[in-house]
Amino acid sequence: MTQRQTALAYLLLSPFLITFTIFLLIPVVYSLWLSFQSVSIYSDLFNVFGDLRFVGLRNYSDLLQDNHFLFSMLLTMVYAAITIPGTILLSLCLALLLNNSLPGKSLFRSAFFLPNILDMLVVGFVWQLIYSPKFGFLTVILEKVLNIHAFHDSGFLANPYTALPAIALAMILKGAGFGMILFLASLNNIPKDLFEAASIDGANRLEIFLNVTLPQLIPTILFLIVTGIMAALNGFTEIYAMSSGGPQFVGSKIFGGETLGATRIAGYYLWQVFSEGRYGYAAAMSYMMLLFALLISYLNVKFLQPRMN
Amino acid sequence: MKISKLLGLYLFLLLAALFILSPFLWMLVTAFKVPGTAEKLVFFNDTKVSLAQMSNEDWQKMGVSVEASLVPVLNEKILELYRSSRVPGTHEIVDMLQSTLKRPLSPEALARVSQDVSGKLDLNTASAEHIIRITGLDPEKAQTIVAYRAESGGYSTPQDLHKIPLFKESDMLRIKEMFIARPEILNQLDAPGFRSVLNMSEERAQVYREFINTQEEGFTFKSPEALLSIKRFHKSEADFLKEWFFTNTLYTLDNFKKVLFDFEPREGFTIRRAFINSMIVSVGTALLTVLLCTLAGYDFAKKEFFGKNVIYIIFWSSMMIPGMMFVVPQYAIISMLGGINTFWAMIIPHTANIFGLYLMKQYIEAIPHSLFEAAWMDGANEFDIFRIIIFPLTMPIVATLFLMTFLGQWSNFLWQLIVNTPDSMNSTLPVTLALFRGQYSTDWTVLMAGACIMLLPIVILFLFSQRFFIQGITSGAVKE
Repeated sequence: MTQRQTALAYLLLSPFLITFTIFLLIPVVYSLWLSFQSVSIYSDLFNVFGDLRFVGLRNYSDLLQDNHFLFSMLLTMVYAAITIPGTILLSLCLALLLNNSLPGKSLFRSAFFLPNILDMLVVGFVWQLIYSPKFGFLTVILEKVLNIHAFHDSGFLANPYTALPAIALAMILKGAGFGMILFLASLNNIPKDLFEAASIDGANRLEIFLNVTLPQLIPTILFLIVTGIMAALNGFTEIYAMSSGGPQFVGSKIFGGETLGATRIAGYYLWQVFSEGRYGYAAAMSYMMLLFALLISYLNVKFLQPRMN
Repeated sequence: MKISKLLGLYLFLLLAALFILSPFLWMLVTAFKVPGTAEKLVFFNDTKVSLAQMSNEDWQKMGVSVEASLVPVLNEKILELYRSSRVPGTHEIVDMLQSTLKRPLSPEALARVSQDVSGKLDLNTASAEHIIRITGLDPEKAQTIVAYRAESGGYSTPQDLHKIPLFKESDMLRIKEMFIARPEILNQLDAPGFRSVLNMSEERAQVYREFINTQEEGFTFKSPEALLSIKRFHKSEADFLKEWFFTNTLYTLDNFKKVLFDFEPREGFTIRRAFINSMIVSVGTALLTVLLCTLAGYDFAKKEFFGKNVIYIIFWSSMMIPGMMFVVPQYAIISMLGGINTFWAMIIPHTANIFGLYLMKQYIEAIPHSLFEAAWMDGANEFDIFRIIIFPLTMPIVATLFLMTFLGQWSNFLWQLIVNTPDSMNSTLPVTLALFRGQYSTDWTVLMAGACIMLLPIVILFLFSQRFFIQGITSGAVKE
């Protein structure tokens, strides 16, 4: 490695490196510094950054006592617990359906994948229409077919118990195509002789699936879990589009009677705090979310890693 | 595979595809509906359907006495009419009725049938159940209409409905379009009446009034086009009155027209402008990302330099960080650099795409090293290497990266929401659509039309380039 070669290498790398440093690296450090600051209540909106005061770890301790934050993390976990298995199951089913040499297969593949590339906001609006009270498609279908009138007045998104599952359902249907593509690729990569060996040994279809196919799919499943958790933590647009933090749980017994938004998951709450101008608090919250993400990923890998062999 | 199994599989796939795409099919259907009718789960005007499902008592209530044996014949013929022509006119139905019954209809029956067919409603003579049947209003509201008209002496214009206590704007929307035209109303209006009903200017109203005064006693207008015979009467006014005279179908292109041409929340900012903004942001980010990632990918693939591994590890660990973490500090940095409401602030932060770097690196590593060696031996400099080797050979993956970045930026809502203030001229489409919802909060049909317009470019792009999307996902994501 000559000096000149190194300099040249860095020259080529510099646009990427500079952009990365300014917009990705520095923000992480800056965010940590911000999380130790607090905005004084007397600062006006235009001078927020000039009025930061150092407060040490107070933001973090406030966070841990903040019912809104704790509830939002709980909601995020519930949200993830619904969307991740749902998406994996649906993607797997779709991939298994399409895993054959059917003519016209690519047409169906496109149809299943299409919702995935559509804009989240628009999808949210469309589902809001479907979930509407009185004339929403789903509400009317339930009334006419199953005679369930419980949702006539409130629809799905105004009922605190059904709002988050409803949004989760919309996201499952939207995101299944992505997982399907991954599973299809993985299924194609399984060596054919494994199947032959298993059927020679006398295994039936179910046993083949459980013992041959499924273990080969675990890396993909792991990947989907990790991306699913990130999606749950970062979830903002779908909440903004459908319920804006959701119907209120009034007088919730768990958290001492405060009114808490029923769909205000972590990402949305972060944006809310941010748009109120409490940048220090928001930065601290994002670090808590990061810790949470790292913890879950670590647990995930630890849990599924032994099974990969 | 056996034929029956094959067919079964196809059927199942078809049902699954319909299930997954059903929200968007519903979106399409709603976008074409007349405003105010999204509330009904109907696909054709249900007053017409009800006309085709009449029993003998129903016909009697309409004032048309029909022999019991003729009822099914009549209903069948009406259904045929609706199936054959797109919008059978009132006269067609009346003609068919009269020819089947072999006698003319009485004037009252004629009036009632005309109302039912046109979906129009004479609020001054309709019974409560008739109102309910045609408009689908709540029974109490229908009763209120009937009760109040006795007190107030009748309704001349839809605006009169506002006087009824408890009558809301959303109810008005439904009724307004069905308010029957009574041409004699137009004859009786004085100039202030014209102004309030037709939103005319004072002098135009005078013109109209004077014209009426010069006509004979009992003059009525037969059609909106007749209004054009008055000098200086605009076509737009005739169009406005048209909805008083003629049947409203359930479907219209008006929603799309409204979104494309009438939506202007602030001076000079329309959907077209938002579309251009989105294009600039998406294409700009895609181009820059491709450039940066290709340079950096080549570096990591083919060059050794001090600190290479450390940097690579730092890059990879940044992928573990949830995107939300960057929102606050990136906003702070952008704000300090004066980037609020600018294009570069929407573009540049997203160009350092680690995933793109990974894609390019993998691809370039796969290029046979001998090509590079040959070029170096021939004395090629870096620029030549790019021009001769990298640029041509990485075209497929470059296209993939371009498309993926384009798509990611087209839908990127949170960042564009944060960077743009509400009065920005550089807002992109998603942010604008969110604004839409505020403006047209109860008008689902217009919102769905806006949604269709927003999704259309992406769908078209997808249909032409799905290969690249799928390749991008599978090559990058499945880790060995």
